[in-house]
Amino acid sequence: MKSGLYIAVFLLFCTYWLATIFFVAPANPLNISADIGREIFNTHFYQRWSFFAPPPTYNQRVYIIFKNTTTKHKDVFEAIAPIVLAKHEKAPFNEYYQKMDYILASSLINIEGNVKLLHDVFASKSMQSLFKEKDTSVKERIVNDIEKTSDFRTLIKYARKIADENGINKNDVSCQVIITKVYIPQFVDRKLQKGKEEIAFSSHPFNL
Amino acid sequence: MKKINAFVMGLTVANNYSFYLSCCRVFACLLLLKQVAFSWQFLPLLYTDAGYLAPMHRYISEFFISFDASLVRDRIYTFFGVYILFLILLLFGVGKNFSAIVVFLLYDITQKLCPQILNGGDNFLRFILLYLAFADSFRYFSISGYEGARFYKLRCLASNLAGMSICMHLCLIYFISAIHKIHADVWFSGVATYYTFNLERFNGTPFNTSLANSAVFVVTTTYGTLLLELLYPILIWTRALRKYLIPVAIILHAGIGIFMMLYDFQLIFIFAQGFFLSNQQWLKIYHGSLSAFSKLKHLTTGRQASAA
Repeated sequence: MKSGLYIAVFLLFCTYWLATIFFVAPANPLNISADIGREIFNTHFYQRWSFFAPPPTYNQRVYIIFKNTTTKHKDVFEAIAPIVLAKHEKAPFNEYYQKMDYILASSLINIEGNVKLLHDVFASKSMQSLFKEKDTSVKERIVNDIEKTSDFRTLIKYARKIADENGINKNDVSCQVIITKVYIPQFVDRKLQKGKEEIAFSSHPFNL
Repeated sequence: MKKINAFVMGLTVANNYSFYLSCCRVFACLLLLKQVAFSWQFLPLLYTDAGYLAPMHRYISEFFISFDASLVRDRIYTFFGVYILFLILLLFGVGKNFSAIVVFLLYDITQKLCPQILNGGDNFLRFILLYLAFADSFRYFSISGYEGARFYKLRCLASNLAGMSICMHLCLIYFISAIHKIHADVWFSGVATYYTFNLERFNGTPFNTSLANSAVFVVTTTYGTLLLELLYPILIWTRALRKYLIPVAIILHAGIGIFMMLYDFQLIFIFAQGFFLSNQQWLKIYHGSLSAFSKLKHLTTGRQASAA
């Protein structure tokens, strides 16, 4: 009777491990087709182990631009550099800056991923026919959709924090967020070139 | 079927991970207490709507029970007070597996409240806590261990499966990471370390940039990492090779920790290597350190007495 219980525990262990290997393995025809199973597995045992595979080939920048609505004067702040600098200076006791870095970086990564995803969605023929009659461009629709996400809301809230810290009156300015990528030169060109900077996302001007 | 039966019954004889599971319990509790202490001042920023972080989830699902996240967000310090209490209880072995289950659930809730700040180390620690919830990790460094023969065999089986699961999870992580890396061009062509060392976010030392410019360093570390992650899950099960593989893995993780400022992340992976040493080896180290410590203590008290 008791050995039956031990065997049952062992079978449970085997089932758990078979499911883990099956769903954690890279996407393949078998695990892609098991939609319901994957959803259940990810709800309880979500895991992702593709560390730095591949590593990003660029560094990111977030420019927060405050434009005074009457004088048209612009104040530009880059949000990432001060956090990264503080993270280096305070290491290894840099918990606060480490967390700030993770928060902003995850927002940027998600925004970038969503821009790519939306590009693919809007590029599909069915979507093109659906939006054919409307005058807004694909780029405009992508920006609108990104501005509704929680990741973008985090950036807006961060912009408010910067405005407060720098004595900018939030009622007098409009704000714009621009995310850029500064590419790391290829290894062979590492001593010859500087990284090229490219805009990855640019929001509409909005009120804080 | 007979072989499976014999194998399973073999796992019910003794807890083969009793010492290191106890160490793991203490390590996990101290690490989590340290993380809470260092984050205490900015808990509202991370876990409530008060800061600049916009929460991702409105509802939290914990093993078939779903609840409104604001229940926790609105009482964040109370929640963390309870979390600390259970961490301390588990640290001393009070409440045994009940405390372990509660700590796992509370840790899981913190992860779901703010998934933006998680990394691979947090993900692995979640699974370690899950396995600890089933294991008897109260034989050492505990106020009271399990007494008598009640459920002894079941406890041994659960503990051995938990220890094996941590070892298997470490191997799974390396293997999955390696096959994803092979698929990526920069790893295949031997320049991945150049890019990781040039990422401003992970630029841990002033030497990162100059090291990243060295072709020898870049190619060696890129292929070295790949080779280790590919071979470790297979070769670590050969007892004779462990004395080579474990130090190499520790060097790799210590290097990542220092050069990329991923301290806790790498500490968890370094700690997990210890599960590949046998209970006997650990007990030998433990008793050796205890006798060395008592000799040192004896020597110091002797000197103090003679000085007086």
